[in-house]
Amino acid sequence: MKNWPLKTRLVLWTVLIGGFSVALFGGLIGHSVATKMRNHLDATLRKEGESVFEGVAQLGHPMLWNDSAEVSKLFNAVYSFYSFEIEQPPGTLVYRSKELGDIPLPRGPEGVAYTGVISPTDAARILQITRGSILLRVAVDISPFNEWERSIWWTYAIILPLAFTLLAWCAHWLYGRALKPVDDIVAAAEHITAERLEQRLPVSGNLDEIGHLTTVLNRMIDRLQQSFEQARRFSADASHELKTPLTIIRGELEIALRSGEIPHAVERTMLDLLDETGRLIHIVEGLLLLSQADAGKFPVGNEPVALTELIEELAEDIEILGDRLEIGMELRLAQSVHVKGSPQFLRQLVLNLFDNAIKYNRQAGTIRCELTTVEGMAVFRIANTGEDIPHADRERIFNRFFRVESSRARSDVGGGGQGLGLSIAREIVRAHGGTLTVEPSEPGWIVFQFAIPLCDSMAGRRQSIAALPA
Amino acid sequence: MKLLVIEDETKIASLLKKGLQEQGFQVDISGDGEDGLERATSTPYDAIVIDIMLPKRDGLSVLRTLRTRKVTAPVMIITARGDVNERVEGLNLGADDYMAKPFSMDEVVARVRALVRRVTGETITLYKVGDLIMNLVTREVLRGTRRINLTAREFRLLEHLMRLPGQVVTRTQLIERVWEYHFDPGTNLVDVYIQRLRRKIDDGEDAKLIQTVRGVGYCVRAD
Repeated sequence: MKNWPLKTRLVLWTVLIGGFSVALFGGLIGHSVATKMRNHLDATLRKEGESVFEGVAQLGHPMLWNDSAEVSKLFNAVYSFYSFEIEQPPGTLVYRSKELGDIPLPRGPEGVAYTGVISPTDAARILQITRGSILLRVAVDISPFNEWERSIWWTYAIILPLAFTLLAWCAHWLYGRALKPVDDIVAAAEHITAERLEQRLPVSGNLDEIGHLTTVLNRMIDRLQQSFEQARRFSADASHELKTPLTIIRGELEIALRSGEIPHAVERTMLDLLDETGRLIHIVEGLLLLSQADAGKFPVGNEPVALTELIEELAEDIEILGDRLEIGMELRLAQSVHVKGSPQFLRQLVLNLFDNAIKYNRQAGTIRCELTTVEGMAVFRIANTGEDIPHADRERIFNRFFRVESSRARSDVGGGGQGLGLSIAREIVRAHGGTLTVEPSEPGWIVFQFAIPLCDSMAGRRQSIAALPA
Repeated sequence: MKLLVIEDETKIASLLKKGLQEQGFQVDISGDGEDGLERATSTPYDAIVIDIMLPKRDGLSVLRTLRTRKVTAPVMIITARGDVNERVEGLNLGADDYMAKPFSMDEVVARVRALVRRVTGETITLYKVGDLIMNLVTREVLRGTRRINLTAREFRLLEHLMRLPGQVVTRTQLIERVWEYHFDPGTNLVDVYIQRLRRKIDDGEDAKLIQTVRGVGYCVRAD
């Protein structure tokens, strides 16, 4: 229930609490009204019983008036709601109201009203008073009252679910209205990514909590944008500024080396410097590329690229690189897979992954590559034997200049990377509209996988190439 | 051979001048777009190198104006950004080649030479070192009278070595130029290919033409 939407939970609680309260109060009120009515009925019964008793006592021997039709008429006229039974002395019935017929009133305790059945269909409240030689039972038919009470409870039973429904509906509408600005903020915030930090949340203009939240969030995005831009500009500016001196260093070294006037002892140093300058240039170019990616301006092309051929060609070189460690290579590539993008960057992407697969491999290990097409995507999966990547590092390995524990990297292979290879690879895949991830794998294997959309013209041919070559 | 370099960064300009002069070119330098345009229009040059970022008038505008003024000298543009769009725009405007900073002087020299040759019609079709002959048109390689079959990549590798006979080319440079890998995939890739080349070219010969130079690179030399 913790993961349910807030609105659902609020509605549910409202209906639970509100509905329970309505049911409770309704029940209590109904019950107390019924009790009050019953008490009132009993009080009246007692009053009437007392006055009838007095009349009976004054009349003397009932034998005299039992036959008298007039007396009987009087009784009936005055106490038409009540029925009587008189015994004098107790045990000898001297009078019974006509409507009771032959059935005696049920016996009960003295002086306390009780309920009894007076006919197959009717119930009554009965009071018995005994004083001296006279016993009087007075009864009042309560079936109309019972019926009334029943109908009250029935109405209640019908209205209650309706009340619940109405409550739920109202709560739903009300909370929906109240939470709408929150939904709006969420929708707007989802559109604001590192690449689109210039966007802001819509400000309602109200000074309520939501308005306040929006303002605070917008201010936070301001600060984020500022620091992002600073970092981005710094790395772009720095790379840019470094280009001129690097050009000059490299150019001067090349010119000097070509002149043929350099002593052998110095030439070697200069050649080393030339190589190191080249490495430095790669790092600077990598950083510039990443800062462009951060700015959402990755210079990705839009031409069809034959991915299968591209990988095949690179795999040949990689096999040579792996020879020294006796790394075996297994390729399973679906034929004629085409994607849209820039061949230069896709080459770099695949190379970076291959390079990684060699650098973090073991002696006599294996590299296993697979290119397939799944649901309109070209999926390239590259697995290599090697020490597992700790779970905590699975995302961090894509960070810039991140190096896994030094024991893992084989610095003797490939001369050590610059720690930008995987970050660049990820940006290349992202710029091509795909994802690059570390996949879960069996122990002793490291698996990377990227998926990028197939070229449009490929969509129709997807079926024919889906099958892998044996 | 007369070249014009329109480049406002004096250090880069003098580097280009130095490197190109050494190869026998006569180099003029212009420090801004307006001046460069003026000179390029008034003086016939064999090739023009234009930086895109220039004061007064940017390089692409200089190029566009030159082409509308019917100046047909081959143009190489230089950009600091390596922006794909910039390159495409430059080539569309009539640039003949493109270099991104930080560039290699060797590469600039080689490409400027190719540009000039394209105009004069004088093309190099043969490289020759000792008795090793490489025909760039027919793509034939001969060692004496023996015909050698090379794969495309082996051919490119040999071409880059023979282009500058006697000069050491480092493994990193070869990786960049032959494989066009702009990162360091490890240098034994070059070693393996050099071994293959050696097997085809030098095996069974008295004179070994492909030489390893003190562990840093290779050169083709007939001693």
